Amino acid sequence: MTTDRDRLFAVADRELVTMLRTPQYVLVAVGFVVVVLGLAVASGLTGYVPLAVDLLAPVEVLVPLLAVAFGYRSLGAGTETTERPVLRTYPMPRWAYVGGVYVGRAVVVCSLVFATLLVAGVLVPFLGPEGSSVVATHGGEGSFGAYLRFVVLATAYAAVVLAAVLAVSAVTSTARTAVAAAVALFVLVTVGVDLAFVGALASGVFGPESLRYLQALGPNGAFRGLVLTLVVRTVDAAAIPSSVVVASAIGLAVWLTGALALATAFVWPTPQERGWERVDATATPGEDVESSEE
Amino acid sequence: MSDADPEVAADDAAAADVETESHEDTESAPVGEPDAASRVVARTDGLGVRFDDVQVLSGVDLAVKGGAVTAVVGANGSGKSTLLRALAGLLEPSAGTVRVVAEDVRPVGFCPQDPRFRPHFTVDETLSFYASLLDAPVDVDETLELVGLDAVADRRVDALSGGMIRLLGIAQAVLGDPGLLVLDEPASGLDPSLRAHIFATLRDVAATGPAVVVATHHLSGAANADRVLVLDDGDVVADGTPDAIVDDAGVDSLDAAFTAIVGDELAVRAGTEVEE
Amino acid sequence: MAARGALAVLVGVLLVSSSVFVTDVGPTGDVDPVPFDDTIVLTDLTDAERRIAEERELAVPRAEVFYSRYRYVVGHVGLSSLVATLGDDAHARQFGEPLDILVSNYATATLAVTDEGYLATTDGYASWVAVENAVFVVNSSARRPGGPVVVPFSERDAARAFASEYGGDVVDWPGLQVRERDRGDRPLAVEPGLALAADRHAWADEATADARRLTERPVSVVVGEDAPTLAAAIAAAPPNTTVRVPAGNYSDVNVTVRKPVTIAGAGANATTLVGTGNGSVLRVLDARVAVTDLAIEGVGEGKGVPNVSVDTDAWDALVMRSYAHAASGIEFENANGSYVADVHVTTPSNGVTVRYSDGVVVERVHVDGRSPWLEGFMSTLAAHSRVVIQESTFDGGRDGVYMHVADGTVVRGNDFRNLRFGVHEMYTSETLVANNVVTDADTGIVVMTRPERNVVLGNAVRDSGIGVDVAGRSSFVLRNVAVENDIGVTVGSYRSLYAENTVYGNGIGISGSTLVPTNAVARNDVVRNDAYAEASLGPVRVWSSDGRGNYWAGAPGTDRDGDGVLERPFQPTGAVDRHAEAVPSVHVLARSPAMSLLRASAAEMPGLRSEGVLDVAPLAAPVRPGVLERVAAAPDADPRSWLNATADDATRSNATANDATRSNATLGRVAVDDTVTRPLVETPMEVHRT
Repeated sequence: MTTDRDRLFAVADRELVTMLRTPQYVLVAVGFVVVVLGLAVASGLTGYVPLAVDLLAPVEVLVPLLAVAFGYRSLGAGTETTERPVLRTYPMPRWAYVGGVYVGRAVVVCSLVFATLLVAGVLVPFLGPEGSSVVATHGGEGSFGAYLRFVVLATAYAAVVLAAVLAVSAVTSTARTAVAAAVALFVLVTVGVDLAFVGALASGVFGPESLRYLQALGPNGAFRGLVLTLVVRTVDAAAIPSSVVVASAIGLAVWLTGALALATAFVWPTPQERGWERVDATATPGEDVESSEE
Repeated sequence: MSDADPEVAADDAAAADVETESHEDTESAPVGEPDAASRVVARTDGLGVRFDDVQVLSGVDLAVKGGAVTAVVGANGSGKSTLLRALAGLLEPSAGTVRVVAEDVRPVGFCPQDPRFRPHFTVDETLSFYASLLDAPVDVDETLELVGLDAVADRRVDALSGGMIRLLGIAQAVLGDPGLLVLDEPASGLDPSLRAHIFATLRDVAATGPAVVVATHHLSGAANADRVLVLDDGDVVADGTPDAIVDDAGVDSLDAAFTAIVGDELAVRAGTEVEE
Repeated sequence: MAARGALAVLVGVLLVSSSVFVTDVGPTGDVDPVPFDDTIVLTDLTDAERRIAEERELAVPRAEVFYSRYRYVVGHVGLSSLVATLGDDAHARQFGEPLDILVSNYATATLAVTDEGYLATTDGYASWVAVENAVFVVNSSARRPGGPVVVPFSERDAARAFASEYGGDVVDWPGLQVRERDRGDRPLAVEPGLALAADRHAWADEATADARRLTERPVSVVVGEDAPTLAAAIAAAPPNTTVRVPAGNYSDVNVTVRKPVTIAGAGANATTLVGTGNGSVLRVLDARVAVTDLAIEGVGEGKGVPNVSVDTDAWDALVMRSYAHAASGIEFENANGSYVADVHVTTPSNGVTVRYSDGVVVERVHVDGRSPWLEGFMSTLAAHSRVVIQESTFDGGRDGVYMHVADGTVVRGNDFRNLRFGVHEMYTSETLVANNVVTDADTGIVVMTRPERNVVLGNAVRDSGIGVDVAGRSSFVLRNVAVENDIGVTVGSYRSLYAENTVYGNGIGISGSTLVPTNAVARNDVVRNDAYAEASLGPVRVWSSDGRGNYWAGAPGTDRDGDGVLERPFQPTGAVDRHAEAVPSVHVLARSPAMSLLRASAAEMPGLRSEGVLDVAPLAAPVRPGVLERVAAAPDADPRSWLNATADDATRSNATANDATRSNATLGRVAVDDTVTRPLVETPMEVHRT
């Protein structure tokens, strides 16, 4: 007996293989790796925490780009008359389909982000400048553990943004709308939310105190806040209450679940809602179909 | 089997608005027995579909029986695709109901007008994916053999011809033995020999039990159907065996019958197609 | 089921990785002390003091600091530099917060105070104690070489016991910080440096006036008339009179002066004293002796005199014997307030040597040394003496002015050419080197060892290996002009200021060479060098101070708000920015978002960046445009003409009313008039308006 979870993974498998076999995705992935590693090397690879600082801003931009590239047409665009109607005739709940698509894509995107950043970190001891061998060092440049925190956070950020892109993909039906919406989401995620906060701050809609928590509203703000607090641990960040960390983590989780829920609701309507009925032939053979009006 | 079907179809045609057709066969035949093929597997009652201001289907009452091929014929915009999608449960009717007898977890198999498959997968992989969504394991090879794609099972979709992709669409629709198969223009744009192969395949599929509903504007295909349903502007304007329709129209070919029934209006409607 | 497996692996890896969120990844927690020799040391002691401390095995408390944003352990000898660096915002930005500070703990040792008042351990060794647990004895009678000493203990009882024996107060760490900051270093700004220079000019002016009075002594003996030889004349002359040496050559001169007389020739081109070619020509062993208006030749070759009476146990015995007792045109020892003027010395060894004599003034002297420099030696040498050397010319030889423990010496208005070092300071603090011109040297002005509070002001160096190279700390390198050297200015000191220098046409403009960047490098004009800067050791240096950086010619960016600062950080050592002046087209690349990203994050934790220089507030216009214009117009002209241009800048800029360089009249060796006696920083601007 096939369970819905099996169906989810069947879909995920197909997504995974699709991405592995489609040259465009491979190119995007290679491009991401090259840019991130290039930036890492250009930054000097002087230490783990400096590397995290250097990569923070690029990751904030590149990860949404990657998510858009990998996700904008995964659920809706271009399949509403070809693939999705077919899938709807199979006994698969919407959540399994959306979940499968998400898992398949997220496995690729998250693995890519995780592995690329991990490699960048591993380069530090090899390609970074040699410390003076006659001078005693201590952990001032940050530990690999701190960098690993950054990598995990970036991976989570990628997962969240991908979910958002999937939601956009499900809500918009045609390919052109999907591109436009995905780009809009990208702009919103990368600059829009921050700009809105800056504007709100400038106009006094809310004060700098509440900004701490409001930043958790945008996925990139939450991500940045978590990195600064948990990885870089700047002097200013040390003063940030842990409630802000919790708020940021919750913010990311809400984006993730909300986006997936939205995608599920929009991927296709439930057929049984009205006017279409399935009659169990084995219970009352033929009877229902023919005498239903009586 | 095709001998018996015209009779049933004629009954339906004769009683389009009346619930009179006989169901002796289905009453007496338990599910799974050969005779069950001829029972009604889907029925619409007063089915109407509107898209915004456009009434695409209005008051369609229809019963389709297993083991038969029903050809839905009509001009572009006559409501063929809408009827098929409504039957398959892919859109929500604005009036009336659709009921489908489900013997299995998959009540309906559907093949859209322009089926698309992931280009980087092989035929076998594609079908296996869909098969894996079903409850019970399915022999994919058997299905490929049924539609005649067994020779290209390992070929990638992007290396398939248009006809093969249609066949793959049909194979996908057949998976899981749904009682109702709905196929939208499975042979449009194909050359005559392929078209004939596809309709022959559909007949073979119907012979295994399900009701096959196929939209087509190729009357050559319709001529081989057990039953022809002529749609015009959302209404069923003719319903019966091909022979009966020809006879009713008092002409000597399906082509002429079709022209006689809807021909005058074709030109008018050509400019106001409703895209679904 | 590839996805299932991949998901399982990914989730597994992420879960395992997520354990870093529950473990402590920061560089915190208790640290173990590292071997002190492995730390990067900042010291309160000059090298001279350090050598005394080592020689006598004195106890000087130490500290080890583990910063959050600096990978190396910083060691401190003495606790003043510790408190000073911790209180410095710029330092905090560069290195982050101190995570742990360990200080010496003398509770585990037995302490004593030597006869000289120095702290020493007689038994046991100092261990380490975390600074927050330490208590400190301040204001006790115990000292270290060069200053008071703070004695840390882990136990308050031990501190009290020490205080009861040697006096002083017991304070905790916060108390010590407050106390030390109150008596902290001068701030790193131009004005304090100019004030130091003014004080030293004033002292030199006073010493000059005092020495010049020696030329007013009455003539008592004339050589050739009243006495046959110079030696006989000196023997015959009563103290405080003048021995006249008429024109002519006087051979086989080997004279020792043991009374306060003035020896006056008829002029450097008229009277010539010719030595025996073996050892020195004149030896002065009494105070207030003057030698004027003559030439000296026939100095011996001997650079190291074996049988001289130096304290062979002293840490600097070797230097005293081989440098300070080398054959010389004139040697002074215990000759306070003596005077040498208008004397021309031709020497294969030293020219004028001063030992243990303060207030000796050497002016308008011309020393011809041997070339190449390896053949020659020190044109003037001051050892354990505070001297004034001014308005003189040094041509050839090894070093123009060599100082060894010559604290407070003033070297001004001299010309140096064709030698190893123009001015060479060893173990010498609190000097003023101003208005000198050096050409064709290995290094124009070099300060070695780790002295403090030296001022190098308004000098010009051209065609040399390095223009100005100052080590030590709390020093000022101001308004110098370095042109067409291999390296313009080397930043090799600690907590020092390099400001308003004009660095033009060098191979490398400014070179940073310390492991711990603690200097302020700001308001310099860096133009037309092959490379703006280099900094090969240690972390990134932030070269801007109080929101003002340097003028890097060709630096991309705009000054939209008109505050004189470009709104774009500049990385003079950066892969792109380094070409900004030579290849203007890199400006396009320099303004790319990618560059902005990298640059912005580079400023974030400079203490962890390796190599390179970052100016977060590059200037939009030169600080001293007049100097720059003259240099650019005539890089081959007499460097004095550039220094004159500071007058233009002084009148152009209202920002700095003080102009530390000499007025036109005193820059040449035309005359020593009253302008010398006027404190330079107070020179009215109007004087310079030409």
